[in-house]
Amino acid sequence: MRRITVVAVALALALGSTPSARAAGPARPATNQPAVDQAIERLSARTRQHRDDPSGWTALADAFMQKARETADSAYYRRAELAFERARALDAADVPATVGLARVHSARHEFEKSIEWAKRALELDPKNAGAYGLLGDAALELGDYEAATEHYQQMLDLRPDISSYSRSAHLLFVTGDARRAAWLMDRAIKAGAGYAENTAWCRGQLALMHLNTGNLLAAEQVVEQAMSLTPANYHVLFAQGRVRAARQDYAGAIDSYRRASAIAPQHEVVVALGQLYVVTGDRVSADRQWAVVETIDKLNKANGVTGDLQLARFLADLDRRLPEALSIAQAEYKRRPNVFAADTLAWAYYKNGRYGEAKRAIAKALAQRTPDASFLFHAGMIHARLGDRVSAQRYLAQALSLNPSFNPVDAPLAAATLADLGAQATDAPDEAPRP
Amino acid sequence: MRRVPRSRAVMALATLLLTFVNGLAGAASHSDAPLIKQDPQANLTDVYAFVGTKYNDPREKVLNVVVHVRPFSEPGDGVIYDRFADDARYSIHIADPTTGAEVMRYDFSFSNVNPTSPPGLKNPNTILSYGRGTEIGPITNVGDARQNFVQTYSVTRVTADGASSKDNGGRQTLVLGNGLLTPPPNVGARTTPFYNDANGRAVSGATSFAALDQYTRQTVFGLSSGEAVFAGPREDGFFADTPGIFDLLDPRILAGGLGQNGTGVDGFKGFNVLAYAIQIPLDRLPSFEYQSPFFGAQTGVGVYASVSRPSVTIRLASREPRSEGPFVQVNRMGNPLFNEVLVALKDKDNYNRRTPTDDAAFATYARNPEVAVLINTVFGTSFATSNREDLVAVFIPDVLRVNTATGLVRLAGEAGFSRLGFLGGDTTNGVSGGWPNGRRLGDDVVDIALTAVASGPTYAAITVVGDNINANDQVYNQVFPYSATPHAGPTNRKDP
Repeated sequence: MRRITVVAVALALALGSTPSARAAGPARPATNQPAVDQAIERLSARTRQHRDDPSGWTALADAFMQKARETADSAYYRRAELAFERARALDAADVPATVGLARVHSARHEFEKSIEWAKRALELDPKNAGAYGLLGDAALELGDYEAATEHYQQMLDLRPDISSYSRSAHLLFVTGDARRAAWLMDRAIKAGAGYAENTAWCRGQLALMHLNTGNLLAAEQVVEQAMSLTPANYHVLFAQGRVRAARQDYAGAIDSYRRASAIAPQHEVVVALGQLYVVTGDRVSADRQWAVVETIDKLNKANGVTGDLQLARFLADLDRRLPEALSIAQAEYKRRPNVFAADTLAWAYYKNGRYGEAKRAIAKALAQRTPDASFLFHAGMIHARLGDRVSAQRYLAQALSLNPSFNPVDAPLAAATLADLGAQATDAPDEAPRP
Repeated sequence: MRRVPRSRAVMALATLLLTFVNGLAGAASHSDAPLIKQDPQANLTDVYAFVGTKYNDPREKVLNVVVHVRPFSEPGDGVIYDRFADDARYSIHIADPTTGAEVMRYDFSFSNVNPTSPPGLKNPNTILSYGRGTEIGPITNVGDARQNFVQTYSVTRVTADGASSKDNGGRQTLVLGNGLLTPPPNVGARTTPFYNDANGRAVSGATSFAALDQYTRQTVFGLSSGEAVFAGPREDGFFADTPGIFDLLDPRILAGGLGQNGTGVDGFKGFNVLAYAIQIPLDRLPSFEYQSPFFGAQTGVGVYASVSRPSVTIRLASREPRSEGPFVQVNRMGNPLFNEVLVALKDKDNYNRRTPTDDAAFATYARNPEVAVLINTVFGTSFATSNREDLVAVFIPDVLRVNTATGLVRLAGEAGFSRLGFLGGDTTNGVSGGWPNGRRLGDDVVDIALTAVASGPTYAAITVVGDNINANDQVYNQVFPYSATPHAGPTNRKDP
């Protein structure tokens, strides 16, 4: 009798400590409860019974990280952090928990700390693919694309899978290689993952890659397929909204965005929704979305979260509190000088009438040849203000030919500005504008 | 359409904001790529290897190798059903049983998982992969007009020969078969009737090739090189009470004498897997002399399986469009339970990356099994926790050692078969019929392993212990590909 208990316990401990093993349980829900909630329930019970088993705490923390991904509820980062710390308290050399802490800091944009933990993990296990992934993530955010490439390459060589493929695909896209990026993101989807959300994320990204390069039909196909597989996923619904908006199916796009924001009210979807209300002339609904964005910001500040890039871009786009937009953008660019930060900084300078600085910043944003029509649109507007008509025309034409429907508000503005510039060419000689 | 009163809209907004207060703080602009720990399509669950007869010729002896991958495939998936990853290479390795060095390898590579147009998809204008192609109705023959999607595969043999071709590191590579069909999943009685009985439940337990269902029969391919192959959905033949084990307070684990009364609950019940399998004529196999801790001098081969994916070169310097790198092994399996139970967490990924010739590095996990340490620490027993050369001999290098000179072993369902192999008196020419001599479907490897941990290294007194699950939830077929018929979507044993 006693011995059987004994064996069962041992087997539970042993089987339980294998993250990739079958004992981790069905990857798909047998019920309607999301797989991640099932995992949290099961692993919570396990940690209650085995308080001294570090692998149990790590597995629970991983499930919390996944939950944060699926709901955008960052409270789960703290719960994950506590569980990872618990594992490290039991065994300071626990590699998965050490990598886990790097993940938590990365999710919170604390890149220096993330790097520190990832390096600590690599001291314990020099062949840890996940730690290289996090080093690459941090390098990407910090705008060091060569370092990101090195880290991701190491990750790919250690373990080609959805994690390393999708990261590398994103890097290729940001550094201007859209074709190989889409090819590699497709690979990531094929490689698959345990949580449906993970492949859905990749499909959403692939759809946006196609959309950003004007390949509307391919984007539609990816979204359609993703909708049949994961119909209630934030990333898929957001991509569907973008595709529908590009088709000028605004009612459909609004529906997609509303469903996406009901799952995870992220800044990007609230803003996209507001823009569509503007375009469809529903000022009241648009203002309501802007109020949501502003309230998000107030809540962030109350919770000690400092300003972020998206907010700066939002304020600049809407001509609101422009000095604040600029100071946020400056601080963010100083903190992480990547191309997206450079673009937002350029736009904030532009809106504040500092066109020379805007031009220098947008040059940095364009340096990687990232296929993003917004960058080109901003470059065009900045150069128009500076009186460089030829450059302005070129950038605006490039923006519209890359993706004619890149943004429901900005794309028509780009077209109108381009037409104006063309008219100027015949009406008046090229001359520098007066401020 | 009535307009929502302003106050209600504001309240709704307030509620929304309150609900997501935590969510919005700090999550602002970040959407990382996933960092996965599970990789189901590359996750090998079981490797079986045993001596049997050619599927269509009872006189010809072959080595059967059946590999299961993709745990917990949901029979009632309903949308796409699980398929083999088309970017991965699924391998079966024949190795030296003493050193673990590969001498021969079979690679299975699969066609596009998600084709969007013909010929990959007969009819792109339907949501159905099965039951509607250019016609609507039940699938009668694999790949007929009602099977919209058929995944195909190729099999390549790589040998260390190198006499004629040097393109693979001095190895000879030969494509044995191409465009081989996989059968449809068991969608259900209306779409795939030949898998099921009148009640819509999967029919299994065929004792001859002719008795196999039509889909399986049509997808067993005899290759001109002598081998026979199969790849497709099957029932998960592994059985263990993992739910009961995880919930330690469940008395069913404690019931009966030494966990042998079968009152546990099979955590794998009702789920399917993907299987790839081969029959290799014995005269095509190399033969090695090796030592068994239980049965003395043996003649046979080592067997293991692996899954690899291509690395990719992304360095900025190389702007080449073609950028696939060499294959990198992402999963490996030989003996059951080794990487899952014995290898410590920090080395599990490391194990998956390496080949059996490196396994000396992991010998400590077999020699000093943590399982036994845990048992003794928690419960004060005195199982041997060190110098377990008996376990080292089974697990290091981690290949299934199959004696190919024993003659035919008994199959599950045949008279004289014991799930415990030699512990249950089931031997063939003095050698265990099942694991740790190769491994058959139906071998109760959890009970055998626990018994070995509890009884070794002297085996002076055998104490059989287990998990109260003694048999699979579905009967196996007694003919290649052996794994049981996949459960039906609507009526599997999980959701009665």
